[in-house]
Amino acid sequence: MNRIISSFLLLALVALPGLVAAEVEISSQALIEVEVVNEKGEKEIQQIQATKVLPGTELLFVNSCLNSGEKAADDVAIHNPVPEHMTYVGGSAYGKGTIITFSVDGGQNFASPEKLTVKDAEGKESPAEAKDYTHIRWLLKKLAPGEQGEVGFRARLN
Amino acid sequence: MKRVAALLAALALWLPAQTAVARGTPAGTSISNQASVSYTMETTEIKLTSNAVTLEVAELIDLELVWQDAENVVVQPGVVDKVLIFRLHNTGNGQESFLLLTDNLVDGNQFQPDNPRIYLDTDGDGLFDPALDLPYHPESNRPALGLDASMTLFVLNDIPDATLDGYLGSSRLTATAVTGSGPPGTAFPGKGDGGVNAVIGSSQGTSAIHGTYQASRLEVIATKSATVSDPFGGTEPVPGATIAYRIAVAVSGTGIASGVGVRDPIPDGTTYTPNTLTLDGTSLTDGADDDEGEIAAGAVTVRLGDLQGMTRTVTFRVTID
Repeated sequence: MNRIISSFLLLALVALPGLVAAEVEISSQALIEVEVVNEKGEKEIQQIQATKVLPGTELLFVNSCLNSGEKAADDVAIHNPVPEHMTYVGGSAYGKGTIITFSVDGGQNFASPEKLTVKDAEGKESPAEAKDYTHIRWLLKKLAPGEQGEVGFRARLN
Repeated sequence: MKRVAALLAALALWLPAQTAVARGTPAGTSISNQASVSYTMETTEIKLTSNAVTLEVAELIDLELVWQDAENVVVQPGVVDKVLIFRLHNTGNGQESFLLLTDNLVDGNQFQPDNPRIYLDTDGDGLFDPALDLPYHPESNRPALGLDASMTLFVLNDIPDATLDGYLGSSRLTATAVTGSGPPGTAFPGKGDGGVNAVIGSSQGTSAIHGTYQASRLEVIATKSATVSDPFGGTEPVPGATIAYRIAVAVSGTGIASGVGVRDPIPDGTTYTPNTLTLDGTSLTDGADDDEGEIAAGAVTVRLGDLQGMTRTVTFRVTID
């Protein structure tokens, strides 16, 4: 009996993303900003898709969330781990109308930067720095039908 | 054309500002980013994930060569196989091999070191050992270093006979990445570890540094003189006459003569006059104690220590038997 229930649960979990994909979609991009000279001879910053990166490179990660359904999505929470081998660039997270918090414990707890602390090897607590962040979370009260929200952050390859 | 320009600009902009710092993330590492979103729609909680963005870490080619000797290597004219010690550090983020080259036409050279040869510190002890450390051959044993690895290299030269005292002569060692070199940002598509792109870093893929020899014609010259006073007010070496000896030890040239000493036997047929031993005008006791000299086993012994560009004078007297 137990086994049957868990099979049902599994099916439900697998099926859900497929069902809702048409209503809210999230897509992620990694961009590099490059300076180019345009036709007028002016320097301008262009964002290009990053595929190959060198250590020390700063990347811009952008997550776009679109509600393509007919109902509002409430209490929207977007999570993004700081990618492996990368360091969050302090103050870089953005997201219009969102509450941005960070985690220093692998995504267990989130808080605003001034409330985050880390412990050193001897257990001494000190304020967390950008390099300590492991996850970023954006909270948005409501994403109305047809509305698109964009959140992002920068991180540097170690 | 615009696209090429943009790509080049991109490569240049990727370069981190600092130099000579080992790069953290190894070339070829794959990095993935995936966000997730959760929300409530009419009391149903829904969670889904974004597409995964995958990035590949390209290889940064960077190196640093450092001359390791603490100061100029003091050499005597005419000597061979004098060693300069260098250290090569792979400051890029991948595995790289390096070509080595010597060049003794260094600006400011007062003499030209001769017959330069490169050896690898094969046994890794940091010291040159001709029995263990192999000569460098560009075809067969280019130094190959992993990310953040380094190794010691030796450059041996001979010092020309005619070199004047105090003259400086340098020997330059250059290391260049086998994958390539050029202005920072130069890309070598597919030439990095595991087929990733390789990009030249701030070192330009090459590093050159020279080490310097300083010639020393160090000379230690001892001059002995004697003055005889006979009991009759004359200078005849008759029995009872006193001979005052004076030994001047002069050190000249570049460098330090270490552990210089004077040992002078009391001549046969004479007797040392007690309490007449002096060093630079200061009396020394006759016994073997903690001052610089003594009379022992029929000889005067004075320890002068390490001398550099100076003269020290020992005096003592004997009586003719």
